[in-house]
Amino acid sequence: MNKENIEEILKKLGSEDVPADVHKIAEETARDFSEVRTRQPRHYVLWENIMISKITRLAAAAVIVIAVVLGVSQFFEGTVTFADVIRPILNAHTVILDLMMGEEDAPVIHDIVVGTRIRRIFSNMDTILILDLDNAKMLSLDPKSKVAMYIDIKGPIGEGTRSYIGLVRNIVNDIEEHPDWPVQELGQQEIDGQTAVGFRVSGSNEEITIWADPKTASPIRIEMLLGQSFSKPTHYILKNIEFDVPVDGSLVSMEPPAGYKLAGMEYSMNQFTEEDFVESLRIWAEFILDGRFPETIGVEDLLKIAPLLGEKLSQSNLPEEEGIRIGMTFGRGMMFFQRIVEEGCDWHYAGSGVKLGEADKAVFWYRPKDSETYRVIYGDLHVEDVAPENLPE
Amino acid sequence: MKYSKQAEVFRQLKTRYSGFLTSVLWKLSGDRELFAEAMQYALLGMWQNVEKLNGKKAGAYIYRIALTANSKAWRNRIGKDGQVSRSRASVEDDPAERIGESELVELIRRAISQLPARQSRAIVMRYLEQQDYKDISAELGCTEAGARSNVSKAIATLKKKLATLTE
Repeated sequence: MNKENIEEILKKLGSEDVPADVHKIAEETARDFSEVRTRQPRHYVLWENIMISKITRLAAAAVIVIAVVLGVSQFFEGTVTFADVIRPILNAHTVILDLMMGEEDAPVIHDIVVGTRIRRIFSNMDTILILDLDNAKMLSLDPKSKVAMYIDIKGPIGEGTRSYIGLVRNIVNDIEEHPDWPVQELGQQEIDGQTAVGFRVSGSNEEITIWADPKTASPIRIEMLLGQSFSKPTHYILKNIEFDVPVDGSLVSMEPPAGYKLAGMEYSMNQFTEEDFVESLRIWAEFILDGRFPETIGVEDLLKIAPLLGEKLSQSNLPEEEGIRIGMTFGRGMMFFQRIVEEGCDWHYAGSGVKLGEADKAVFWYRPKDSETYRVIYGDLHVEDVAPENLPE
Repeated sequence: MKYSKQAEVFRQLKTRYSGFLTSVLWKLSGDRELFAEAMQYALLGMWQNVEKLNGKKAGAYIYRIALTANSKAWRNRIGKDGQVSRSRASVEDDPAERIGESELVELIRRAISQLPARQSRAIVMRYLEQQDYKDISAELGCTEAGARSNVSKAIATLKKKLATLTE
């Protein structure tokens, strides 16, 4: 075929009119998109499905085949490939890692993952958590008081409490579904004190950078930026990663260790309501910030304030049971907030600068699913139903 | 940008660019299902880039969004249908002599979706939007000779890609 043939066909294409039914398809597509997107702000939370678009999953699934055959090999040459570095991420049975949310100096979450069991400790809290994701149960251990406590996490909290390596696996799987997302080779650099080879992939709502040992292809540091399309994406750093190392089974046992006293009752986190959320705002303002509402509310904020709450409660001389009740209520309230986010409800936080008790100032509002009106929470924590046109400025 | 502001800007952008997107994506896809999918990708791209589309370089961004959307939709299609070109065009030298024009048009559309960004933009502006080289050079930020060169390179790349697709 010569150049003129191609130009001729292109010219013909350019002079074609768009059929009327195609205009209709365009209008319907735009209307559907607007209804979903502009009425339901979606913010990235840990357990939200990474693929946010409405675009057919069937098509994405079909692309996996192409990705496996072509998508990886066409981007990389040399001894260590992207396929090599993601293999342990996808296949390892045990993974040990440190995770920071936000900055490098943020509190560290240390995870030991064995299948669907996780032992989780925090650099800024004494509490040890053993998570049994299969049975949606959590064992909380307090090394100081030697109190053990079972917490039922069935429902959304159980679904959301996945391992961070699980989150990485989801992103890697998403990359494999999208061979059109370019993979950038970062070459060799010194990372965390050792030579590493890097790869970076940016998707529609996430960016992942993996640094791996050039000899073994084992990832040593993973950085993720999730929620890129929103004003404040969340930055996750995973480091000190070890794959398939022997782990003593007792570390992830759901039986309280010797010497621990089991709390008298099992606590439940599987129900949460608006009242819990309102109460959590009160707890946040009253116990943590001396009567002021926080500047922002989000996952990163929660990790920072959790130990502060524990500290304030211990200083308050409240009975232990009451302290636990407050802690649980706070957790349930935050789960309610996450549910609002997860369901794509329209919400807004306006508590910055507001003091507890200011009845004329709105702190938070959201439109419950299928509701015509908004629920507005004011500074004195009374709640009103408000029509959209009457929302605070 | 606040969420309410983002939604408002998006509505304005949708009004401004829906005609352009419909025309370009239809000419590039030629298939209703493919078009709808590309349109969804384009709307998603607009939603994620409302600030850029509201700025000085809006023209460049809307092209990038449209062409990326088209490429993604085509890639999904290739995955869905398998080796489209190979199954439909068992040819030797000149595909035009062995396959019907509609199949050839489909191959050209598919090949455009695989062109480098600047070349696909040059093709779309020159042939699908029937712009002159002066306007194309202004949009691409180059001389008229540069615009001609881009179009010419794009045609040459298309020719090579068509040869590959029909091997």
